[in-house]
Amino acid sequence: MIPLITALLLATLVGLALRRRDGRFTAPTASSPTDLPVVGSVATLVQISAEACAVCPRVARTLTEVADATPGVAHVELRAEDHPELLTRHDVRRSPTVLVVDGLGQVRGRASGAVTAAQARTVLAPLLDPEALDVHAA
Amino acid sequence: MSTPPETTPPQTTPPQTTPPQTTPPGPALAGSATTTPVPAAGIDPRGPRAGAAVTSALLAGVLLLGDGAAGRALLGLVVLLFASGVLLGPARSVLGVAYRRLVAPRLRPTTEREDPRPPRFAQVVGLLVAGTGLALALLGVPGALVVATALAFVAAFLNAAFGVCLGCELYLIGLRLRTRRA
Repeated sequence: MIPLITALLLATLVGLALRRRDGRFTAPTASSPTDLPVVGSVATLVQISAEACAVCPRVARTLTEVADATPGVAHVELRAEDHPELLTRHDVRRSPTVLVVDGLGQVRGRASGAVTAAQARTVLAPLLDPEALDVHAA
Repeated sequence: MSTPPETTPPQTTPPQTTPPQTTPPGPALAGSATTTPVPAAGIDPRGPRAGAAVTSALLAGVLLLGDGAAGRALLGLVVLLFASGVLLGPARSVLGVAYRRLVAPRLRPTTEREDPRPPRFAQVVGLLVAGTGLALALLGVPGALVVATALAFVAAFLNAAFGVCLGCELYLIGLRLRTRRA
């Protein structure tokens, strides 16, 4: 009985922790190298996906829809297997990891797991702000 | 691992069309943009999750029975189920077929399709963990059955209850470790 209860408790705690983190955008940890593709003039949602990844196709569809509906925003999906150097350079621990790259190639935010359209729009909002656009144009 | 030829099982729902990638590749990594390809023989994503629910219930049973003849026999059954998932793939495994015949007809049809490779990879991880536990238990290693079963249970329960693909998480960590060593 005790092993089952321990395993059940552990699994529930891990599951809740992962669910809480899933798709939540955070600020980039440090100034990262500007080695990511810049496609959108305002922002590029760079999605790093591994081959073994259940949610990656769904996240790709979601982000493509968000990008298509937002002028100046593009979505690019990179295969983790083809770009192993990005995994360490950008501290990618989960698949998919989505990096929000601004028009200058700077990482402005990151998230991992099942990113939703609402989460993507929220992280893009400050970048789409007219004032932010002026800074980029200057 | 041998990959048997993909035969498309008769499906009641239309196959999902993958939207074309419209985004051009970036200048920094020209020609590297890809969409994750979803094979035409994609599977109903609820199938592996239902299978994980059955697997976690069986593994919970093993934990309740403990390391004895009954516990070993039940874990042996789980090992066989994992092996069927590895050899036949999630669509044609015992639990995959059971889902399609018994459960799917009672659910609303879905056009959502999932790449069958990640669930298959998860079955490989499950087979390794449960198989090792059973083998060690049969060799007389104390505690091996309970520890391995608990690990496999955590993975199956996370998949069933939270949709977490632990095999996928491990896959990326493995990919990262390989590159660091290279």
